[in-house]
Amino acid sequence: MNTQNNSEQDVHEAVDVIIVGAGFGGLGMGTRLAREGEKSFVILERATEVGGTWRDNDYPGAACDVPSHLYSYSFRLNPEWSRTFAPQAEILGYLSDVAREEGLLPHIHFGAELIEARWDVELTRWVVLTPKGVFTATNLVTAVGHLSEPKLPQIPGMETFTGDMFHSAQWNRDVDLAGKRVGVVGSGATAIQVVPEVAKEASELVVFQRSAPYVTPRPDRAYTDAEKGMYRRLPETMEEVRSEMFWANEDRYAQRRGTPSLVNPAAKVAIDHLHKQIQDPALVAKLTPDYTFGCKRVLKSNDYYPTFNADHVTLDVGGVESIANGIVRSHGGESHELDVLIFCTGFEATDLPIAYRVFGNSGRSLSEQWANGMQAFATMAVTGFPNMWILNGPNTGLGHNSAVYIAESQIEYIDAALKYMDTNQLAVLEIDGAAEEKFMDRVERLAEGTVWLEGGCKSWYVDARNGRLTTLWPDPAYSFRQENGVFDPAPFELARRHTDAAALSEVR
Amino acid sequence: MKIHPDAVEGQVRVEDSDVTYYDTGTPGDGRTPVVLIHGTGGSATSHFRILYPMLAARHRVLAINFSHLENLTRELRIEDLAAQVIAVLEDRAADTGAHLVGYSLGAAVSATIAADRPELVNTLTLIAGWAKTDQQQALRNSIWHRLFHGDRDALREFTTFEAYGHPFLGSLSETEVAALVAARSFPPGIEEQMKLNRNINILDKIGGICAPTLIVGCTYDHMVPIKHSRLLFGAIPDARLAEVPSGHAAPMERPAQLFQLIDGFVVSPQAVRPGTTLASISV
Repeated sequence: MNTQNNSEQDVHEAVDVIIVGAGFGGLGMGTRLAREGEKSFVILERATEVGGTWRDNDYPGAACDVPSHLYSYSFRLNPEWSRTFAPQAEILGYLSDVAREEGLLPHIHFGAELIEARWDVELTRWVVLTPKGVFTATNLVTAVGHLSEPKLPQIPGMETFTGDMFHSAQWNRDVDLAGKRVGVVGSGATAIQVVPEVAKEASELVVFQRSAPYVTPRPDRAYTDAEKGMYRRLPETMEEVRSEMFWANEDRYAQRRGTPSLVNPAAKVAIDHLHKQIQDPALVAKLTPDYTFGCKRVLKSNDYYPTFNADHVTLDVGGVESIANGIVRSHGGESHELDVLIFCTGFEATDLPIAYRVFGNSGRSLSEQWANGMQAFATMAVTGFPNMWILNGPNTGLGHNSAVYIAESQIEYIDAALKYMDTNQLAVLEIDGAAEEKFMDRVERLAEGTVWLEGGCKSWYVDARNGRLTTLWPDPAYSFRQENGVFDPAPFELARRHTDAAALSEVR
Repeated sequence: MKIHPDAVEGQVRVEDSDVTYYDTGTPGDGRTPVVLIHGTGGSATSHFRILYPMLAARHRVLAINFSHLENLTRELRIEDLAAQVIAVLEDRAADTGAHLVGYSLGAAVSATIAADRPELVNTLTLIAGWAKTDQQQALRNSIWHRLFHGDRDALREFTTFEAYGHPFLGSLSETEVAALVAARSFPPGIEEQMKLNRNINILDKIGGICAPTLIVGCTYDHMVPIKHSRLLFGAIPDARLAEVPSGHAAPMERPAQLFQLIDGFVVSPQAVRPGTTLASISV
């Protein structure tokens, strides 16, 4: 790393805000700052183009399972969406357009992976080391998401696998699947999109499922030219359709509270879908979930189940036990000889890798502070980490609605916090530790009784270290914005009062 | 199926009929209940299947089923239905008062109670309500009665067509619309309620309502066009007006949005000043 012996030109001019990540969150925050034009900022991006998870997850069949008119910025409605659920390339194109048209490209440093971020108590600034030099700023906004670091299972003998092996978010385009014997590990949101596509190519396909997902019909269709023209000429009609989609999703939140009168009919839709598409009783049994509807992400697909009706597709329900050369053995005792192994095993969502690289005012890393699970006040501010704001961090995932709505709520909050600092000429804003704990107690109370905790499943929504629901927001999306979308200085002022007054004057 | 795991079902005797209620709290527990009053031909379960559990996550919720008065020798009056609600309120919420929420005919009943028995009503929410039946409604009512006695299948289609807003119906598949049509039922007492609907007139009373009131009108309502909500807003002194982009079947089309409106209002009734309109929610 060249930052160890920096030459002068490696140290970039100080800015007001460093944004880490150029995905939905980072570009949204950048757009806000660019449009207001009050603050200097840079966006640090480890890759060579924008798009975050929509750049990385370009596997065959990749698409969003939130409708596109909702899964887009409210300040950048897009009349051109081709379908209800746009495919990955189109979403990536949308994000590229936003970056270019909002004038963000000059602010973005590509190949600038955050190696280390440290709060400098003397300078009251964040100092960020990257391969592209050192960046400093008053405020640090991390927007790295929780679906960005591929998670691979630890399987004995994995290193001996003789064929090609990759994670779905690192799809190897050099591998031609035609005529190959392919294994897909996993049966979550990615797998159900990958499996039908791989089945078209492979001579043999084995899907390794540990637990069966609930799969509901995917009400997808192409938009007509008339609709697109209407959205173009009457943009308010896009807002109406967006509102329809948002509230229809919000209605589903009630199911997540575990009320049987709502959960049971919703589960029946998925089970009916399964029975309609699969006739073989043994296969139906294997594909029938054994936990409460909604405990894990509810999936949408019209072509996942039918794939298993094909003769060359096998569903193995044991889970992978070991690998020896070309043989993959499952816990069920079966052995499969395979040429390619694709891991659709998700992401490091509860133990965020960036937390190991960020150090607060005591020199302690965020991961150390979060050893028992991540937490943040209002989902954004962490005690001991002044002037740091986390976009799409703890308790911001949704099992029922659009993540973009959440990110926009946070952007609103962060923007207000930055303005508050300006107006009151504050160099430092840090959340009070007690306020953070109180917030987390409230989140814990909201999570009580929900299907995510009580649904009898193991999911990435819950941190195994503390049993807490740390990735999901356990209340309606609208409530998120009500509670976390409006900046209130009081709990930050509390922290200031607790700080030694002398230290404060030194800072000034 | 039970409306909510925490709900206790009970009955209160009114005249010679039993009025059923579902309460997630108990008298004396100090919690002011949100009281849900259903509309024509409905029940707590059919109209508030989604809204009830949503509200129950944050409030004590009490819902009531109107009882069919089989032995009535005259036409049903709004006071008969009000008496049923009042009896339950006196039994379950005499100590706390109630956040009364009425939908459609239930709104007319709730407004009547708020005017006649102000001590029972802490706040009032009127969803797709009206004060005086007009000729547009009377015409629909007349078609309803003809089909009720002539062609029940056509009536199922007609009421589905009328109940839901066009954006909602238009977005469904043929199968989904067919399921909505098939689900329409005509429980005992519905004809009497429809006759009552033809002659609603509580205009004289509602000016006297003193409880903080939230009026919720539905943009695409054919059954009770939004103008009626605007008139209620004009008549009730301490009222504020919200608009939901749904048809008459708002509790089915937009339960989550109704939940947020009701929750926000009962938690701080004066957060929105009387005489003002709530800003539409942008997402």
